[in-house]
Amino acid sequence: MNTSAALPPLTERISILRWLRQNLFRSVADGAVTVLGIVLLLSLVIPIVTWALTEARWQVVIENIRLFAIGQYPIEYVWRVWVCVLLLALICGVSWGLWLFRQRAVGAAILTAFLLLGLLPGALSIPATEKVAGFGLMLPSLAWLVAMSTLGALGYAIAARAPARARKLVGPAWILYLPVCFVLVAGLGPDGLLATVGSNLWGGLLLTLLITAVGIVASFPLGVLLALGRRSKLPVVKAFCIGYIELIRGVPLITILFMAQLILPLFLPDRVTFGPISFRPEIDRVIRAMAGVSLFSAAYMAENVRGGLQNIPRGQFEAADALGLTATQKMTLIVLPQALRMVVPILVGQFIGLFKDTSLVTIVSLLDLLGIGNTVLAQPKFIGTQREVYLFVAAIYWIFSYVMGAISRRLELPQSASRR
Amino acid sequence: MSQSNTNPESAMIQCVDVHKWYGQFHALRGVTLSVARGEVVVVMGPSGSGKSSFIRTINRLEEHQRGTIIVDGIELTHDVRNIERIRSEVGMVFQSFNLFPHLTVLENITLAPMRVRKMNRERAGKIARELLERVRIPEQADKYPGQLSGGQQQRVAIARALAMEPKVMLFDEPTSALDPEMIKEVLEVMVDLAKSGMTMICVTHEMNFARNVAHRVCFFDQGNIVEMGPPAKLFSTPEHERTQLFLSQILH
Repeated sequence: MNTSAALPPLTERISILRWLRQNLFRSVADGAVTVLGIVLLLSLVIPIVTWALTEARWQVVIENIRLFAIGQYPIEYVWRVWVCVLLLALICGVSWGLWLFRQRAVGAAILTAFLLLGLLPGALSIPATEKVAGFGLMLPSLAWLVAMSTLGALGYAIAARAPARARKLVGPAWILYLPVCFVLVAGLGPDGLLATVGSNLWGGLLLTLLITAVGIVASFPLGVLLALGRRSKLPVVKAFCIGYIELIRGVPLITILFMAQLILPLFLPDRVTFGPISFRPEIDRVIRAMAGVSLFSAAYMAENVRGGLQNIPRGQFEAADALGLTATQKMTLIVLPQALRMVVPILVGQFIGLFKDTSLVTIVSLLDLLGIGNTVLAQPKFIGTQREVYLFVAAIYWIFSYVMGAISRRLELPQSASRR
Repeated sequence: MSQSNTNPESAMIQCVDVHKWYGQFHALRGVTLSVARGEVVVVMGPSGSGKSSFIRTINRLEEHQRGTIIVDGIELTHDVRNIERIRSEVGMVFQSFNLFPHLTVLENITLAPMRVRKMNRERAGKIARELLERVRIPEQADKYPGQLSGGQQQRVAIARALAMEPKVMLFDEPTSALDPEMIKEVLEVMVDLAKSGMTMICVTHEMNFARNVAHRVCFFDQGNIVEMGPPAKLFSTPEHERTQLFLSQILH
C-alpha cells in the first residue's frame, strides 16, 4: 500500500484549532457555554481529585479489601473461589474461540473484565501480614493474571482446533458452570477439601455476583415461560401468568425480599416426615434472597420477552405451520430464537439493573458488597470514611455494569442486523 | 392411499361446499373443486374474492366452518394429527416468502425434513443441495435470507416446500411481491415443477404461466368460483360477465 492512499482525504485533516472553533466556539454564545461548562467541570473535578489524592483515607479500602471481595469466607477455602474464576477464564476462552473469534471488540471487553478480576486477588494479597493458611494461595496479582490468561488462551487454542461439533458442548458447559461454582463455594460435606461453608459467611462481591448469577439464570427460563403463558389460549394458564406478572410488577423489590425472608418461613411446616426421613424444613437466608430476586426479575423478563414475541411477523408462524412443525417445534425453533435475539439489548439492560438491585439485600441483613461497606464503616478505626467506602463500592458496581453493557453493545448476533 | 378408490376420479384434493366466515363476513360461499393428481390449477380473481382464503383452507392456515376438504384421502377435521399429516404432504409458497431469517438457506430447507420427517442431517443436506440446484441457486446455500434478492428468496421458499416431498404445492401469489425482472426466474422454476407432474394450485395473475402450464383456470368472485375451464377457452371466450370484465382489465 502506498502512503498517499493511507492518508485521509484533505478535508478530513482538520487541525485541533479548527476543530475547537467548529465544535466549541462557533459563535459567542457557543463560546460562553463552553467556558461556563469548563469552569463548572473544573470546580467539581478539582476538589474531588484533590480530596481523593490527599485527604482520602484509602486505608479503609486497602485493609478491608478481602472483606469487600469475599466477606467472611474462610481464608483456607478461598482457593475454591479462585478455581471458579479460573474456570470462568477457561470457558470464556473456549467460547471466544468457537463463537466469537471474529469479534475483537467482545474479546477486548472480556479481557478487560479479566484484568479487573485479576487485580482482585492481587489486592487480596495486600494484608499479607495476616497469617495465610496453607496452599500459598495469596499469589501476587501478576501471577493470577498470567494464570488466567494462560487458561483463557488454552481454552481458545483448544476451541480453535476443535471440530465444529464441539460447539454444541459450549452451551452445556455454561449451564454446568454455575452449579459447579455453587458447589465449590458452598462445599459438600462436613470436612475435607470441600468442607461446607455456611452461607452466613458468604459476602462482599462474591455474594453480589452469586445472587446476580442465580437471579439471571433462574429468571430467564421463568420469564420466557411466563411470556409464553401470557399468550396461551388456555384461560387458566393465561390468567395465572397475567396475575403473577402484574402482581409482581406492582410491588417494590424490597417488599418481595422481606416476604421471602420473613413471611415464607411462616408458611413452612414445623417438621416434614417422609417415611424414615424427618427434618425441620428451613430455607437458607441467601437462597431465600436469591428466590426473591429471581421471582421479581422473572416478571419483568416476561414482559420484555413478550415484546419480542409480538414483533414476530405472522408469516413466520404460518410458514412453520405450513411445513407441518408441531406447536412446540414452532416455538422453540422459529419464534423464540428470533424473539429473544430481538430483545437481547433490553435483557442485558435488565440484567444490569438486577445486578445493581441486589444491593437491596443489605436491608434484609445480608452482607453483599454494599452490606460489607456498612459493616466496614462500623469499625471504630474507620469512623467517618463514608465517602471513601461508598465511592469504592460505587466504582465496583460501575465497572461491572459497564463491562456487561459494553459486551452487549458490541455483541453481533448473526443476522440480527440484516432482517428484512 | 387406501381411501383413494372412494373418489371416482382419484382426486388429490376434493373440496365440497366449503364455507368460511370472518366474523360476519362470508368469505367463502360454498366452493366446490376437485383437483386430480398431477393437475395444475390456476386461481384468478379480483382482490377480496376469497381466492387466498380458499387455498389457505386446504392446509388449515384458515379454518373452514362448513363443507368438506379431503387431501389425498385424509379429511381435514379438528384432529391435530390429521392437520399435521396434511400439512407435511402439502407444500406452500407465500407472497412474502416467509423464510426464517435466523437460519441459513440450507438450514431453512433442512429444518422440516429433519424435525418432521426425522431425516438425518447428511441426507437432508444432500436433498437440500439438490433442490437448490433445481431452483438454480446452489451457491447461496450458506447465506442468510436477508442477503438474497427477492427472487432468490422465493426460490429458496420453493425449495424449502419441496424438501418435504409434498404431493401438492400451493402458491399464494408467489410473484406479487417481486420486481418484474425477478418474476421470470421464479416462474421458470414453477414451470419446471408443473412439467415434472406436481399437483399444483396457484393463485396468480401471470397470464402466460396460466396459458402455458395450467390445465384449468378457476375464476373467483365474491367467495365462489364463477367460471372454470381450460386456459385457452377461458381466456378467449369467457362466458361470465364478471370474468370478461376482469380479463379485459388485466389484459389492458
